Amino acid sequence: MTGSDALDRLLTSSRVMLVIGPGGVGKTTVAAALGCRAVAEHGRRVLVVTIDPARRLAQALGLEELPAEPVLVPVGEGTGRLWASVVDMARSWDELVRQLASPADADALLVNPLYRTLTTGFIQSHDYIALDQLATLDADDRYDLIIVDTPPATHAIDVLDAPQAMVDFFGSRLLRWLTAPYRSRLAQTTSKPFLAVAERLLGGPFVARLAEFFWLFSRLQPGFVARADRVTRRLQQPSTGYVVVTTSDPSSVTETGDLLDELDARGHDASLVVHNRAVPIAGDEPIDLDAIADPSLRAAMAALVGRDARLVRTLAGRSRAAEVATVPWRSGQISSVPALIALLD
Amino acid sequence: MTIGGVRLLVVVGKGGAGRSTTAAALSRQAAKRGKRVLLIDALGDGGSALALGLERPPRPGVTTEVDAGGDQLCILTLSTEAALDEYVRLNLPIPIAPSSLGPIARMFDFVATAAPAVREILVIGKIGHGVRGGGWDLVVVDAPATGHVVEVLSAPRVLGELVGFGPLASETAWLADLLADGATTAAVAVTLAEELPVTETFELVARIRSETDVRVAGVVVNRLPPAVGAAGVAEGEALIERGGAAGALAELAIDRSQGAASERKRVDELGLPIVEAGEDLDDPVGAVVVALDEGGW
Repeated sequence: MTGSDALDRLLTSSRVMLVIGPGGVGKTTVAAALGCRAVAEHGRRVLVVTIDPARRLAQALGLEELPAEPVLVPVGEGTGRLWASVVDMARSWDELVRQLASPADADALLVNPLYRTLTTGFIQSHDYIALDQLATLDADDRYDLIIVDTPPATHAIDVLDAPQAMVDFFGSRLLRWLTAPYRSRLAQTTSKPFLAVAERLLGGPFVARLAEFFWLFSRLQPGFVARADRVTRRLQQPSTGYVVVTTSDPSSVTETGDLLDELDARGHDASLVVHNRAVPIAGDEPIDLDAIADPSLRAAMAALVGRDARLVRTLAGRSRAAEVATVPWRSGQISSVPALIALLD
Repeated sequence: MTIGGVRLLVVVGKGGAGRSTTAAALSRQAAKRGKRVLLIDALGDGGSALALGLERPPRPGVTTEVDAGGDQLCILTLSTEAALDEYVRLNLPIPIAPSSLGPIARMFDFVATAAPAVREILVIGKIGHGVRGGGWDLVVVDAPATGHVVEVLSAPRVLGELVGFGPLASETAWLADLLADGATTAAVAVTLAEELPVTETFELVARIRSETDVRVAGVVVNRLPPAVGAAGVAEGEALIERGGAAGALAELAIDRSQGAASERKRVDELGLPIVEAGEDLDDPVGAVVVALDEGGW
C-alpha cells in the first residue's frame, strides 16, 4: 500500500473517523481494516460501528453475526482492543425516544401507528441514526477511536448533513402546520389552506393521524436539537477524520469528485482518500503495455490502467489535493482479521 | 427493433450502471432521427442533464432545450414540489399560495412510506401528461433507481385499488391504460456485466413483470470491458507464470474479461433483446448510441 504515512498519522491522532464514499466501493471492509490496523500497529482501543444491515462487517471480521452491543474481536497480542457493532435502526429510535421524551409522551409515540414506518423510513433517518451514535459514544471512555462506517446513501454527503436536516425539520413550517390542530387558534387559522389541501389529497383521517404523530414528535424538539448540535460540533472538531473510500469505477470517480467538493464546501478536509481495489503497478514505473503481443490482452490491460489513471487525474487535479492511500486489488472475499491487516500493509 | 413506435420509454436499472447515460443516448438517437424528444429526469439528480452535455442541471420543473445541432431535444427535471404544483393547479378547486407548496411537497416526501403511491402518482402523472398532451413524439424517462421505479410504475394500479381516495382516483385510470399499452409504453433495463448488477436486473425485471403492466422491451449491457481472445489468454498465463506487476495486471484483465463474458451470457436468460455497449471513459453516451445503432434499435 502507498500513502501509509498519512494513514498512520490519522489512525494515531483521531478520536472519530467517518468512512464515507459511493456505494459498492468497499467502505465497510476498509472501515474494518482501519480498525484492525489501529489496534495491531498503534495499540489503540477502537470501536468500529456500522449501520449496514447486510452483515458485511461481521463477514469481514470472520464472525457469524454482530449484535447491537459492541463485542470484543480478538486482534493480536498487544494492548490494543477492537470492538465492533451493528446499529439496530428500530431499537436506536426507541431508545432515543425514551431518552428524550417524557414517559407519557414516549408511551404515546411508541404505539402511534405511524411511528415505525415514519422513523425507519424517514428521509435520512438511517443517516441521522448513524451519526447520532456519536452523541453517546463520544463520551464513552472505553474507546479512544470510533470508526463509523456510514450507510449507503444516494449522495454520500447527505450523511453529514443529516443532523442539521433534523434540526431544520423541527424548525420548519411543515412541522408547524402539521401540528396546528394541537396548537393555538391562530396557528389553526394560518395553516388552514395547507391542511385543506393535505386533507383533499390524503384524506381527513390520515391527516389527523399524521398530526398526532408529528405533535408528539415535535415535543422532542429541545432534546433532539441539543443532541444534533452536539453531533454537528463533533463533526467539526479537528480530531474528527474524514476518510473517503473510492474505486476507479467510472460512476464512483464522478461521485467521489462531487463528494470531495461538498466536503470542501462544508469546511471539512478529506483527511484521506482511499483508492480501493487499485490495479497492480510496477513500483514507480508504468507497466510496459507495448511488450504485450496480443492486441485483445493489451486492450484489456490498458482499459484497467486507464480507469485508474482517470481516478488519479481526478484526485490530483483538485485545487486542494488530499492525501491518497492506494489499496491494491485482492481476489476473493476478505473474511478474517489477518486478511484485514494484510489489506493495508 | 422493439421500441420503434413507442412514445414513452422508461429507462430502469441499478444506480451506477449507466441509467442516465442510456437515457441520454436513447434521447439523442431519437432526436437525430427527427423526433421531438423530451427527456425527463425523474430522479431529479441532474445526471441525465450532465450526460447530455449541459454544464449544470436545469431548474426543476422547467422544460429546457438542449442544443442538439438542430434536433428537437428538451430535458425536464422533476421535483415533488413542481409536480405537486402542477397537480394542484390542474385538479384542486382551492386557491393556494405558491409559498405553501414547499411544505406540502416536503410532507409528501415524509409520508411517502406511510401513504403508498401518493408521491409516485405525482411523478407518473407528470410523465403521463408529457406523453398525452405535451407535443412530444417520444418521452424518455431517466427513472428512479431499482425498487422505487416499480412503485412509480405500479402507482396507478395500486391507487386505483384504494377506495374513496378523492380526486387522485380519477387521475389513475388513464395513466394505468397508458402504462399497460405495450405499443405506447416500454421499459429498457440497463445493467453492467457484473454479478450483482445482473442479479439485481433479474429481480427488477421480474418485479416489473409481476407488479406493473409495463412491457420490458430490452436490456442495455453497459460498459463491457474488452474481451480477451484465446491467444491473449495464453500470453497472459505466461505472464502470470513469470509473476510481477505485469502478470498481476494480466490476471486481473483476464478475470475481468471472463467474468464479464459469463455475466453477459447470463443476461440471455431474460429472453429479451440485448445491446452491448463497450466501455468508453471519454464518451460513454456515444458508446451507447453506437451500440443502439448497431443493435438496430
